[in-house]
Amino acid sequence: MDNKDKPLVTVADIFGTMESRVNPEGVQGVTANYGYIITGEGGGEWTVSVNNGDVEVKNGIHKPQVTTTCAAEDWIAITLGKLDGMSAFTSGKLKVEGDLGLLGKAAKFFHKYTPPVPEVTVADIFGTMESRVNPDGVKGITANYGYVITGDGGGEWTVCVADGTVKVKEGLHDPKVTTTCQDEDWIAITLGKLDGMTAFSSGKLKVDGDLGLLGPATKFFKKYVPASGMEEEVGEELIVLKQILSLPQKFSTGKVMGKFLNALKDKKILANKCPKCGRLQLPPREVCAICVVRADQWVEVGPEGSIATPDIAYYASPDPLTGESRETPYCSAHFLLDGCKDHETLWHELKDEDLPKAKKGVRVRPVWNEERIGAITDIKYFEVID
Amino acid sequence: MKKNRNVGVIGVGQSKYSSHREEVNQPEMIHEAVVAALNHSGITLDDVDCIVHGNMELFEMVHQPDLWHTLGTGSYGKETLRVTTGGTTGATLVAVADQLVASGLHDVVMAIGFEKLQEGHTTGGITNMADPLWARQLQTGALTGMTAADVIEEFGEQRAKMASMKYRIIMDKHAMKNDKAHRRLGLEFDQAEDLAKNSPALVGELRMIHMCSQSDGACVMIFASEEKAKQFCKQPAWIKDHVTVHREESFCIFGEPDYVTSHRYAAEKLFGRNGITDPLNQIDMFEMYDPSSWWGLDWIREFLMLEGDSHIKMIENGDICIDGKFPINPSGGVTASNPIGATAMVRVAEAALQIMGDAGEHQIPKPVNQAMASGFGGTMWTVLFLLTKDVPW
Repeated sequence: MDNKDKPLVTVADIFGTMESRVNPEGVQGVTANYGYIITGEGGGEWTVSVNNGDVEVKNGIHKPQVTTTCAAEDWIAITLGKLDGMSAFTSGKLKVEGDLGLLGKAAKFFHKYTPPVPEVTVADIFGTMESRVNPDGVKGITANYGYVITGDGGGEWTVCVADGTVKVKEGLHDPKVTTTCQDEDWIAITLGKLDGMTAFSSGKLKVDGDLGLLGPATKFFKKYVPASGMEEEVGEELIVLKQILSLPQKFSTGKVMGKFLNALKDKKILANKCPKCGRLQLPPREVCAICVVRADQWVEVGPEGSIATPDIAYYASPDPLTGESRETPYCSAHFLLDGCKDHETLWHELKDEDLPKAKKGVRVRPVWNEERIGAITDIKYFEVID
Repeated sequence: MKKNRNVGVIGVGQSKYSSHREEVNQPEMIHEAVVAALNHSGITLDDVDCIVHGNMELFEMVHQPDLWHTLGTGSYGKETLRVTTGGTTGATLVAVADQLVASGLHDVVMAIGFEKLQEGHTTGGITNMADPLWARQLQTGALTGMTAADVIEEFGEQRAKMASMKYRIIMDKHAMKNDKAHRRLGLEFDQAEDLAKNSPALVGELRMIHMCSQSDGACVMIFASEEKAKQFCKQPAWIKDHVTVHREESFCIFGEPDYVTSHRYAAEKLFGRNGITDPLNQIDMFEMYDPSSWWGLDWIREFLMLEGDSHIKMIENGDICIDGKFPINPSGGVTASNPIGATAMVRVAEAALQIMGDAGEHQIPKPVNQAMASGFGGTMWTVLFLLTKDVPW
């Protein structure tokens, strides 16, 4: 697999896949020919003929109402979202002749272009395992895991885990448990396209030996990312350096927040009260900042209450605490617990299944985690009381 | 209230705002704006006594960026301060520069705000702003649909949605006149219904089309004492007054009843000490930090101390358009361009350009004698400025 010599994304592929990416709503009611002159290596001329819902992509220029001229590398960058089309137009990288107004509509004609997926090999999956070790996952485990991967791209490997260290060897070496699987299924499982348990249940994946060892194995490695065929397209001296920071942190709670968090272990929610204005603080604070006095009285509130302000998120923002994108939709909300009033709300999450019921005033109760450590996560979420 | 001495804005420079500035590094990008500001003011770096520099360091995670940027700022051998107050950074930079000149410590101060958001992780930065003991699990970015929900509850779904879309389209029409702006979408008013319904939802009724961009860019402003300002510049924009209001608590503003926002509180202070009793008639334009068109809509009422639905009517009647009765954000505002550490400074810079008469294609057609500009950040932080065409004292 030599990706550097053979770029996977080509202008021809972008135009070649257009007809399969038509967005019916986007082309509805539009009839026009769009010409494209893509210059430079890998370029060419195409016409996208839109005829009230039908789209045909032809080679060459055929009576276009609007013609876009652009360098091949810029066209690829625009298609991949690396270059903003409007910026390219503004900066002159993309030139337009003819009816400019037609171009605005063209932005909605096609579904997103997805570059061809680079070939994933079983050898690469095993070859990258040592670099993907999750130290927490392998802690305390000592065992050899054998893998017999059948098919043309298969082979035999042993993953030797010895209390924190991981070595991957070719061939089978005293495995305590051996997994046998077809090459394509193993790739599908690794890429998350096939569920491991489903493969096991359906017989696609067979296990010999100590079955109990396989559970922990799912946490041994960080996610496999296929070697990307899309090398950074950088010209001349311009290089974009990529870095990932991972920053372990720890925070002291102080006595007041410490008391509040400790109470969560006993399924109690404590607010503290300003002796002067009488308002509650939840979570508590050392002083009432408005009255500038110590808030030294404690009141147990809730645990039941009602939704004061629900906020349903549809956008899957990556969670910097885990590196994962959150499942959407989810609902964070400010809850007014019993015994609280006005702005004395507690910020937490609502159970996913209760999203359709997320309305102001709906009664809720906390669902506690079995294991409680004195943290926000001791409350799993709030759920609606039916 | 009277300042020790008058301070005038004598130069503004902005880089092009864009989501893609891979062709320049940070010092190079800042250098573009520094050169533009020097050219605008007609001075050279030798005339500058002190440089204040700032961004939101959590985004790019570069410690002491001002040292690296010395190459692009020209600060070698000059006094330099670094300021970082989150979303309000750009506004605080202006406040600091103004104070440095007003106090008599320096005669000419250059303020630099920048961000290269593509080099950092915006959601990561914002999550790290949240209370580490309670809120980080819940905070995943600056998105919330609460204001949209409140506005819809108060004014009804149809009116609220149409007003926020009209606000958004007006902002885009303004951005189309500003060649520095990042997002210039070419929206038309007849797209309002479609966009309100079909733009992808982010949180609640806050949709992609309502929300601000993530931009790369730098803004530079040059401030001078009255004596120097008059020497270098035909029409400086005078910084008459500014107010900074922070609300300490993150948690105690949600729920019923309504609370006094830091915007309204700041406006009351600013108007009170500058004899403004009728802001709509005494102020000629307003550059507002509007992170989304829902907030923009809602905050007009707060900043102008209006009641009821007068702010909605201002949008419905087109009063906030560049050629309207009370123009807001002729630059296109924050929904068009948002290089965060520069964003709040751009508001003051754009208000100054309007007073100086140098806003180019997005210059307001009527005279601008008094302008207001706001910065926003954190949970509820406000910095509010009053600029004038006449020397204040």
